[in-house]
Amino acid sequence: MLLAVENLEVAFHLRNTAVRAVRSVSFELEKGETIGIVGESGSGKTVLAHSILRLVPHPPARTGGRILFDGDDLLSCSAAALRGIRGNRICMIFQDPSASFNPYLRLADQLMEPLLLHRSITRAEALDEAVAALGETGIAHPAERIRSFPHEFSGGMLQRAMIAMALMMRPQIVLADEPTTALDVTVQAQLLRLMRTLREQYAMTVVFITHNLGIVAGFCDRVLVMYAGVILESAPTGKLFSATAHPYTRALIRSVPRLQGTKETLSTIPGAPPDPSVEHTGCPFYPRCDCRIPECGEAPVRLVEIDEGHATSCIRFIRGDMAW
Amino acid sequence: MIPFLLRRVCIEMPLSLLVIFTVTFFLIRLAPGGPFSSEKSVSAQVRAELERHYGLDKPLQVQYVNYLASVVRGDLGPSFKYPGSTVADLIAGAFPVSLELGCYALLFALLFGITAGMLAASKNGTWCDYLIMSIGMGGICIPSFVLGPLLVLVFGLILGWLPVAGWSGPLDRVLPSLTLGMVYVAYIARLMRGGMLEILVQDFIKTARAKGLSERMVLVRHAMRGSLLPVVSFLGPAAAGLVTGSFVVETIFSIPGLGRFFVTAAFNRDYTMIMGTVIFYAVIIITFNMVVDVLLAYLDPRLRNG
Repeated sequence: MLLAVENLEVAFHLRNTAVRAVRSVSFELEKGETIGIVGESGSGKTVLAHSILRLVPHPPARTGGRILFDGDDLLSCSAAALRGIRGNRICMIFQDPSASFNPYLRLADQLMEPLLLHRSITRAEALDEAVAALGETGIAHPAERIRSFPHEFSGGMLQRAMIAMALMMRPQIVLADEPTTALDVTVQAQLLRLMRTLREQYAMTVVFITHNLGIVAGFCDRVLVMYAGVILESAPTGKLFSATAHPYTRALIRSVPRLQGTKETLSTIPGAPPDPSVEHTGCPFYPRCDCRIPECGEAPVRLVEIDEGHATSCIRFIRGDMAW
Repeated sequence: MIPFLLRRVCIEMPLSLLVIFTVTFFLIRLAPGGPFSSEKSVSAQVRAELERHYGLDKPLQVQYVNYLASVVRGDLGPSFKYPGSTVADLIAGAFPVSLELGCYALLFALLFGITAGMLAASKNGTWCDYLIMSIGMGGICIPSFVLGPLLVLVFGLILGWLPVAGWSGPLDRVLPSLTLGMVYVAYIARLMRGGMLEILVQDFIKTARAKGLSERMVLVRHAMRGSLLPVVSFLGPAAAGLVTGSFVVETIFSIPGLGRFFVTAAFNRDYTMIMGTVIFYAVIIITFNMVVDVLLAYLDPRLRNG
């Protein structure tokens, strides 16, 4: 086991409300696996990923629980220890590549930065490594292009540079926070192919955050379905689609547009995601669920394993009184 | 960058100067009185003779063309109030003093303003931020004719550490520089803090932290450059104002700088001196704004090739 998140809580304390963005989330990450975290916007996926590297601003955020990595608790270790892990053993690929690079600095400086920080190498060696990493992501003439400023790159190229920057450090874990969401589908496909190749080449462990179930199906070994800061279902990718065990997951799968089949109206989930500042007892999906029973609104949410590696929080599935 | 600068120097600068020249020339003639009207002892005949000597008896448009022609040749003309001296001589004598004082004040303002602004932004919302910003507010509110005498009182008279006035030794530079620079320290600190707060919420700052950079390195390497942009834009007119001298500060500390000429020339209706100082000031402002544009392009690559 490489990383263990135990009862992670992240709450943003504002003037008179507390927004609980992540509520008692636990999961484990094995070496070499790719885990997908899916959910709608505002479900807490990004906050979850950012809090693994303690990138959520304190204050207003407060965190609870533990994130164990190699015997250290990332939430309570010293700032110096954390800096040794950030950008070195755990790397992050951010959502919006054009906003995630410093517009005032050349890409060369930005790409070389983690190398110079974490390895004892010269600038010339760091530049060589950065150029090689950029070339590996399929950017032509990397030695010249690396001298560019971010605004001279397209979004797709910047995301390649971002991937290069994360992967050249050969991190033990890569946190990819919707790395392809800001890009168009063809570039998306190219980048996923690239990430898949590099993942196999370096036997990386990946946490892949997305709201795209199609990407999950093709890219991840295991999936966590997140909603209102809570994990509702956790399953190996195959089982998530073949033996879906939560009404929310089923609703998500149904709302993916399909090329085959009848031209029916695209299904949506009625209602809106819950207001995160409102405390709810019971299942957070309860108000929008079409399978709800009164008990769902009261029983506390907890994940229960119903099959090997497959856990759900839906009490009807746990009891076995529902199937489709 | 170079064609842009060439266009600025060869076309825009002369055009702006011509407009400023023309407007100033006619505006000062609109003011009642003339250079010799306050000298009561001068008889009407002598006055007419003086005006004829300086060409003031000619029609206004002729005076305009003649003076413009001489300014284009680089001759700002003789001063009406300091007989025997040309305007160019007077400016050349006083400007180095104001320039020196202005540079010290600017240096002081940049050093303390940027540091204080960065400190306040990085500790946003804490007592440290509030303290710095309150001092800054004080710096903006206290005028130099209050601050100057106050500093003289404390450091010159009570403590006796520094000379109260004059412009001979290096210690003479300290109090005037502080007095002149204080307002700018406050402005720069506020601009720097605002610029930095805007940068610190950007995504790329999170990227920098995620690389494992220390908070200090994040500030210096990633946040400072962008935060400097508003400060640099402000510096164009501010630096021009600083190096051309301040009437108040120069009067308080009896410094033979350029600042007093702006005021005395206007009071005396010393037409050529007014024109000379205005044109000089305009050239400095335009030049400094140009330097600022180059600096901004250096700081922000997105502004290049534009």
